[in-house]
Amino acid sequence: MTYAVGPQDQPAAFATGIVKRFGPRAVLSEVNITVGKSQVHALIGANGSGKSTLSKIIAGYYRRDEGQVFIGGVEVPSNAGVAGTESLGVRVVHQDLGLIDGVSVLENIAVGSGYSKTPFGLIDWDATARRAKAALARVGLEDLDPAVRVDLLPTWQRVAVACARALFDGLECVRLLILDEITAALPPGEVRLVLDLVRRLKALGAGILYVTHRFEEVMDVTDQITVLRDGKLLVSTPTAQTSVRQLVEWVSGDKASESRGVLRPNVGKPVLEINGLTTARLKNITLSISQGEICGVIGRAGCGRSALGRTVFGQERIVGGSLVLAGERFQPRHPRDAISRGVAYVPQDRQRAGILPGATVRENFTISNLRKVTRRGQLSARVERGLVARLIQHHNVVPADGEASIHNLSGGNQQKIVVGRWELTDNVLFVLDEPTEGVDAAARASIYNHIRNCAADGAAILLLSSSLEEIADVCTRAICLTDGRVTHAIEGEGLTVRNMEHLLVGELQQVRQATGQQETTGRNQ
Amino acid sequence: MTNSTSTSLSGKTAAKEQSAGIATSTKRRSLVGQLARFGVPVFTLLLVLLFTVLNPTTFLTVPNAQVVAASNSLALVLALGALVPLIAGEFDLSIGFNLELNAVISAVLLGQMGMSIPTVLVIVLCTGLVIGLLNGLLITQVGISSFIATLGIGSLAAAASIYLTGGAILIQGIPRGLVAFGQGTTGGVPNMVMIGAFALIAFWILLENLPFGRNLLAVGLSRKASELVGIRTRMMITLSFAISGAIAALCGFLALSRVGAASSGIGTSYLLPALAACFLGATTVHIGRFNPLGTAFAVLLVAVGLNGLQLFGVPGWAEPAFNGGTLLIAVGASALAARRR
Repeated sequence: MTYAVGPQDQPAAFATGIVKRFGPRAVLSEVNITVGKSQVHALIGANGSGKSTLSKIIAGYYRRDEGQVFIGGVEVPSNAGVAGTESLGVRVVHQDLGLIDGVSVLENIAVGSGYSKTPFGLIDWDATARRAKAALARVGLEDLDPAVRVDLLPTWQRVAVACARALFDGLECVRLLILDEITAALPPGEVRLVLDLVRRLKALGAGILYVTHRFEEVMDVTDQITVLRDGKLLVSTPTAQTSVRQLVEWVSGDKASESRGVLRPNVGKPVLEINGLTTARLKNITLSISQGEICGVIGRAGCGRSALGRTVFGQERIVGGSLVLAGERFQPRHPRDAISRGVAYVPQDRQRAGILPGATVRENFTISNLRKVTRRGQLSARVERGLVARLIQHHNVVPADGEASIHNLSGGNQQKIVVGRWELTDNVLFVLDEPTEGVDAAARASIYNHIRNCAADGAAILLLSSSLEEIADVCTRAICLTDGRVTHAIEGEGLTVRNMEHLLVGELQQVRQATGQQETTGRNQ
Repeated sequence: MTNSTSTSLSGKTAAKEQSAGIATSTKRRSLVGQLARFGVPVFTLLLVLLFTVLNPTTFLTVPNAQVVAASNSLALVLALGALVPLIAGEFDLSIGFNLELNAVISAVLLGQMGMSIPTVLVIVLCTGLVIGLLNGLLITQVGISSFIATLGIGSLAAAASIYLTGGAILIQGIPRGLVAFGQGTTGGVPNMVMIGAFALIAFWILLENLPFGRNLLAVGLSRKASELVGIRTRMMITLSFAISGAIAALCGFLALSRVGAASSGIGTSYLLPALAACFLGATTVHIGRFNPLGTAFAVLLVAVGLNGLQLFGVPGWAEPAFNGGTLLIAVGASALAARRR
């Protein structure tokens, strides 16, 4: 393939031989991708396959180590940064959308340098509003009042506003639009509306790089598909020549299907029994976990997975149903209640809710139970140092220095501490929410090992994870949540990445059929 | 209002630099680090030497030392009180007005109503506690930021003290014994210094050696993470304001006993040096953290510097100027050093 053609025929974006290393580990090696004009190009792959790294390199957030990137035929210098790629016509819409709640649609669109100015340098609100209207019209929201507060909009309109912001400078300067999992947080009923939006954007002429986890959308809206696996280009094919089934095979591979089922756990007495649990996010959940079991919880973003963990740990109000922990009624109102009954919890957001930033490794370890290092009412430096030295050794924390600042540790080592600090309390139940998110492979293996050991010692474990590989690897069984309900229980042979992926795909199709039916019945009435 | 302003900033920069940096420089860094840790006391010592040389007859004498120590002990106790909410990541701006109000209340109860000293002390401590609890509840239950809540409560306290004094200076009927205690010495050590030293030891134990202090620190570093390891963060924050409130009230009582008079309008002149001492203290002993020993060193540095200047007869603006200048230089130097590391 050569691109020595006239500027008019240049693809929207063309990247070749991209290599990116984080430390000694190559997260991308020799990856090529070409996004044509007016093309929706899907970029898919499992967690850790490098798809978000690749999109971030093209967007200029990361510097590539090797390879070339061209936008509209112009080579992007590797040190261009976000400003550099933006000036070449790259626009990004992230999963979190980056909208400022409490502020009008107009201000959200014009935020940054986008305001039109009067000759005196003041904001020209009329001109800005006209331009914002034009941008909204491009995304199909010509009827939306730009003065409306953006947080009052339904999610799909928020996505559209974020896209309108990307197009605010005018169509002619936008060459590549990167849509990074924009449907991840959408209610199933609104996905269709956002896919319409994507088709509309495509018609505007820019190339669209569409990063997603949802295969049905890929089949529905894209023209070309690039699949990454383990940082390498696995395949790139026109959408018309493939199927959902094929995509699932490509993305999940078949590595996780072996070695399962061999370790049947010694299941003991039930530890946690949930009966008809209902909260603001959960609907009538019934589940029982026994000693030695590692029960995974899977589901789409927003399915209530984290809410289940938070509820068991006393962070959400229970509306209905009951919990029984180790044979006794359990009504946690505060994490303290849960901890005193032997529940340990690892939150999803390590930086905000896990570590004590600015504290030392020692302080981060012992905060979960200071009584262990208190002698005659006072903290004992000697006891604390000794205990922390043992914990550091046991969890293989690098650097092995209790006085090191937690900031000096890698994400994986920080997580070893956030998980390992619960060794200081006596636990019957572990609730782990994304325990290996942003954690390198070595630390992940160490954390899995720890989880298995805890289960072998008779604890029950509830593992909430968006990584099906993780569930298949560690869990003895799993449940699938959809919109706050338990929709499937997966056990034994069925506990493979492929099977669970098919399950999640099927789930969404059912939901969409259901909403489709609702609409038709609605029309009939 | 999250944390200290510049100190937490510098801490973050330091961490970033270090994580990117090289492991081999640990030794050299620790040597420089040790020196930086005691920059404030070392500088204080240098000032003492300088003023001794410049002013050999008056500066380094027992009477002068007694005056300096006694007149700054109150500032130390107040600063130690302010330290507690700061460690929990919150500001208490009401301490100055709280002090003022309770000095006035003491003067009214002792002078005009003729109550006994112990009764008044109990009443004053309770008033301070109530002010602190009010601050704490407004912050944790209503959800007002500590900056605003304590500013509002502080203004109300200032209003109450003006109402009580009617703009007059209350000196009538203050018991002689109380003033004699406030200005007296025991075995050559001013009584106020004894109280300051006792407070320092008490706060050192509370904040550095009891689990309470560690939990408070955790709340200040990350409220969310603290909650998730079982700390009652709201209670801790409320408690921290109760402590600073009671301490400020005690300082009001002590101020009356030292000066022998109470008037409204003295609040801010106590508030700013106390907070400045806390921030300056965070650049020494335990860099990047509010700590009682560092706060004591900070109070000492300002006291010595100011006294040395006053012996030359500097005008009234020198005090806040020295205070502000020292704070900016120390915190600035600490931030710059952290960036270079």
